[in-house]
Amino acid sequence: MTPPFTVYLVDDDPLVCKAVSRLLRYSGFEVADFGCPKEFLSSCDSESAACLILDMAMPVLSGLDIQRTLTARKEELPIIFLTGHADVPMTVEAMKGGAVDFLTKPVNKTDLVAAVRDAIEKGELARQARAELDDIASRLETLTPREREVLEHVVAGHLNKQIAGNLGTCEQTIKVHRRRVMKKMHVDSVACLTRLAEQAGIQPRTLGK
Amino acid sequence: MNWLTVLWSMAAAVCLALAFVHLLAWLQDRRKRERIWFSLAAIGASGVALTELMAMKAETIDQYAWILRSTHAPLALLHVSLIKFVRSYFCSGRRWLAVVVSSFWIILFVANLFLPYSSIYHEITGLNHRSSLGESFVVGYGKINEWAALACILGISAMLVFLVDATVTAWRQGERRRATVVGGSMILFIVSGTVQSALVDNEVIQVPYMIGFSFLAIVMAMGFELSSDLAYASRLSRDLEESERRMSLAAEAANLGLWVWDIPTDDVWMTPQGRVLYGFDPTEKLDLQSFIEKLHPEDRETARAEITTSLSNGGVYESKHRVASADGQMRWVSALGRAEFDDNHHPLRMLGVTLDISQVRNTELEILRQRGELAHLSRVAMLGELSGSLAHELNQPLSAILSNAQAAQLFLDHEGIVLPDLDEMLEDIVEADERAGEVIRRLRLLLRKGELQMQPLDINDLADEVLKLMHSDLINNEVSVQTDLAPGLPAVRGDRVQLQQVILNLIMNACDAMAGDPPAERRLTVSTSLEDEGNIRVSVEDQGTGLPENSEGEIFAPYFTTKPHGMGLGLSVCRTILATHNGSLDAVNNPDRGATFRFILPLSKVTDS
Repeated sequence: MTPPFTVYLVDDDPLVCKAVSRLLRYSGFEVADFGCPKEFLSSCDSESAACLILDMAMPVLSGLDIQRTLTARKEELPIIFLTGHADVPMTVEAMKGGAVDFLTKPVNKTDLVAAVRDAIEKGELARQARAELDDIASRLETLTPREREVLEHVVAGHLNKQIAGNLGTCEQTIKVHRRRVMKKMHVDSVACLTRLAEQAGIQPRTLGK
Repeated sequence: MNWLTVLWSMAAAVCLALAFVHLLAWLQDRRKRERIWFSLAAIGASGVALTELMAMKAETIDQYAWILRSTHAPLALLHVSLIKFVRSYFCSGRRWLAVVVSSFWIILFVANLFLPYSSIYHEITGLNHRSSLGESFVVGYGKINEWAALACILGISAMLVFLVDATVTAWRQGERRRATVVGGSMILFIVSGTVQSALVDNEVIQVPYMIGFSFLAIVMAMGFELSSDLAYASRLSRDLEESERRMSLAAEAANLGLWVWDIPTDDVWMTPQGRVLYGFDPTEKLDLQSFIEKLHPEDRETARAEITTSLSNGGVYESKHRVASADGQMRWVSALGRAEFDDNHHPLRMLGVTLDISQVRNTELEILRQRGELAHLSRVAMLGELSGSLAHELNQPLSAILSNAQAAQLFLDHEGIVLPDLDEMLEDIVEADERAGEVIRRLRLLLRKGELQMQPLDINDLADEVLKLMHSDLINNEVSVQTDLAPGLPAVRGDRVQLQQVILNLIMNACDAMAGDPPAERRLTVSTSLEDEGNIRVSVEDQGTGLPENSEGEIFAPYFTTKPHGMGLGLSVCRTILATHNGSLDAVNNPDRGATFRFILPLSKVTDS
C-alpha cells in the first residue's frame, strides 16, 4: 500500500496559489491547488490527501472555518496554516484544532518543504496508527463473547485457575479459550496481547465476581 | 449814612453777590450758559440800583442828567442778558423778537450817549429836593420827550411780548414752575418798574426811581431757580457717588478691573483691582506704553494691533492676553472696552473692564491637551490599522514573488539547466523578497497596539467625558445634544481611552453627517441602556444624511468613506476596538432620517468569567 502524497493547497489569492503550488511541485510533491475554499471542501478526499496548506485570511470562509468543518466531518488531515500575521488567539485556536504548523508569509522554500515533510510524516504516522487500530478492532470482532471475557481477564494478569473460578468453569476450558484468543489475535505472548488490548482501549477485568 | 443809601447799596450788593456766585459756577462748568447770562443780568441790576442811588444824591442838573444817561448802560446790559437768559434757560422765545428788543435797548443806550438830558427829557429844568420818612433825596423835573417815551413803551411792550411768548412756550413744554417763577416775576416786575419810573418821570409821585428793586426781585427769582438747579446737581452728584460705590463693590466682588484711557493725553485711569491684575503700583501713573510693557512679550504686538484695529473699526475692543504678575506666575487676562469719539470721529477715550480668566483659560488648555492626546491616539490606532492592512496587501505579492523565484530555482536544478547568471538573479530576488518581508514584520511589531488597560468603567461617565471634551466642537458645529443615559448601569470592563475613542468617532461622524442640515435640525442623541444577556448598549443617533443604500456592511470595511477627505478608517478602528472588548458595532438608518450607530459591550462580570 503506497501512502498518498498529494498536497492540498487552498489560497484565495491566485498569484500566491499558483506560485506556492509550483514551488511544491518542483520540490517533488504532488499538488492539488484550490482558489476557492468551497470548491476544496466539496472535492476534498482525505484518503488521497497527504496534508493541507491553508491560507488563514480569506473572505467568506477563513482558514479556521475550514479546519472546523473538516473536524466536524471527522476528516483527519494534517494542516499547515499560512498567514500574513498571526495573533495569539488565532494561533491557539488553530493549534487546538490540530494544526501541524503555522508559517508566516512570505514563506521560504526551506521552511515550507520542511513543514510539508513533517506534516506528511505525521499524517503517515497517524494513518498507520489508525490502520493498526482498525486491524486490532477487526481481530477483536472475531472473538466470541466468552473469549472476549477470557481476554479481559488475561490482560489483567489473572491465572487460569482464577479465571476459571471467576467464570464458573474448569481450568482446562480456560486454557482452550486462551489458546484460541492468542491465535485469533495473531499474538504469541501475553505481553503482545496486553499491548493490543491497551491500544484498543479494553479495560482489564477485576476479580470479584 | 441814611436808610436810602443803605437800602439801595444793599440791593446792589445782593445783586453783585449773586452775580459772583453764578459766575463762579459758570466758570466750573461752561456748558451752563444761563449762568453767565444770569451773572451779567445781576451785574446790570446792581448797576441800575447804584445809578439810582447816585441820582438821589445829585447836586446839579448836569450831574443828574449825566447819571440818567449812564443808567442806560446797566439797563441795556440787563435787558440783553435777560433775553439771552430766557432763551438759554427756557430754550424758548422768538429769535426775531429777541433781536428786536436787544437792538432797541442797545440803540437807546447809544442814543443816550449823545442826548444832553438823556432820552427821557427834552430838557431838565430843575431838581426837587424832597424827603421821605425823614430822608432827603433829589428828583429831577423837566420837559418830557414824548417820542422817546413812546419808543420806550414800544420797546418794553416788545420785551413783554417776548417774555410772555417764551413763558407760555416753556409752560407748554412742561417747565411750569420755572415759567411761573422766572417768567412770571420778570413780567410782573418789568411792568411795575416801568409804571413806577413813568410816574416818577411825570412827577406824579414824589419818590426815587425804584427800577433797581424790580430787577432785584427778578434777579432773586432767577437766582432761586438756578440755585435749586445747583441743589439738584449736587443731589445728582451724590447719587452718582453712590452708584459709583455700588459699581466698584460689584467690580471688586467679580474681581473686575475698570479702566479709562484718555486718548488725547494718553493717560490711563484704573481701579485698584485692575492695577493688581496687571501688577501696577497703586499710585503709579499709567499710559498705553506701561500697559503694553506688562504683557507677555509675545502678546505685545497683538495687543497694540487690537487697539489700533478697534479705534479704526467703531471702537469695540476685545482682547485676551497674558500678563506676568508680580508673583512670577503667568495670568490670562481678558479685556473688553469701547471707545468714544468726538463729532469729527477723533477718538476721545476708551472705557473698559478687565477680568482674570486664568482659570477658565487653563481649563480650556487642559481640554485642548486632552483632545490632542485623543487625536494622537486615534492617529496611532489608524496608523496601526493602516499598516496592518498595508502589510497584508504587500505580503501577498511578496509571497508570490518568493515562491515563484524559488520554484524557478528548483526548476532549473531539476532540469539540469546551468545558467549561472540566471541563478544569481533568482538568488537576488529571493534575498530581496526576504528582506522586504522582514521589513514588514518589523513594522508590524513596532506598531503593535499598546497594552490595553482593562478596568471596570461606568459607560455613562465615559459618554459624559467625551461630550465634555467635544463641547466646543459641538457648539461650533451648532449641534444640540440630547442624552438619554440609563441610571445605575453596571460597570463594563474595558480600556478607557479606546472606548472614549469609539464614542468620539461616532459623535464626530454624526456631526459630519449633519453638516448639511439647517442648524436647528442638527440634533444628536446619545443613549445608553441595559440589554438582556448582560450587555450594555450605547447608541449615537443623528438626523443627518443617513447611510448610503445597501452599505450597512461596507461602512465598517477599511478605506470605505463617504466623506470627501475621509481616510475611511474611523469605523474600522471602532469595530476592531470593540472586537478586542468582546463587543460589537452595527449601524441602521432611522425610520425618519439620519442613522443610528450602536455598540454592545458585555458587563464586567461576564467578561471576567
